[in-house]
Amino acid sequence: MTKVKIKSEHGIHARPASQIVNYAQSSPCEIFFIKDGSRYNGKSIMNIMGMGLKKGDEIFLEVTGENKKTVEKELLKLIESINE
Amino acid sequence: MLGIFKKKTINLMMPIEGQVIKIEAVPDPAFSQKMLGDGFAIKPSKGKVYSPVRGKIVQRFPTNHAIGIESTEGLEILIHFGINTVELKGKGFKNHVDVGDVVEAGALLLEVDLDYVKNQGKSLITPIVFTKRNQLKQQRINFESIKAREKCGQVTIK
Repeated sequence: MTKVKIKSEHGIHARPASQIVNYAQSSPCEIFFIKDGSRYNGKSIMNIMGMGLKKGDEIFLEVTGENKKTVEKELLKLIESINE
Repeated sequence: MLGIFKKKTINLMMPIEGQVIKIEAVPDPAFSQKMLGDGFAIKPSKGKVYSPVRGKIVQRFPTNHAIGIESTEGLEILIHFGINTVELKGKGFKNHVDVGDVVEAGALLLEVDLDYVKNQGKSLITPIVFTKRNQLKQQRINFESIKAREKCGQVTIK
């Protein structure tokens, strides 16, 4: 599992959440985020927004399935590119 | 019998008093291009937000500008009050529910200080989005609706 720190000013609100979910839904992998011991489905807008991620929060990425390393890298890049 | 194949129809109550507009008219591409899902939007004339359905609160963003409800039939609805209102960091928003709460259709969820939000230069336009992927079969929205807590449409889910 890979750790990610949220750096964007307003956290993962609706617009960034939709970017993450749209990428996740395009992947055949299972994608989960883990925050404070709870698992959240990366393919669900409600789950992603439900984490209520703020700047500075840390989460873990859990990707399983084909090409999981690539998918994980892409997701990390995506989350780190959020700058709003 | 064969209940799992039966379509489910859910009546929606107008969650906020105001004018109903198409989701394509929302001034934020994330919504107008339906990146979060299909739905409709309201130009609010009052700041009280009510639950459009009976269901459970499944999401509440820390800044209180966005609330997620899952209806008892399983329809997922996101109410996103205003555009770019995340930037207000919760100011002007008074929340009345918590995640896990079961609410009746018409229950008060949120109160918003419309003047404050407007004075901060934010659009009040509030998308109501059906966020669960591949769930929506049909939505019929009455664009003449105005009053809160009156029936404003019907949604069929798979």
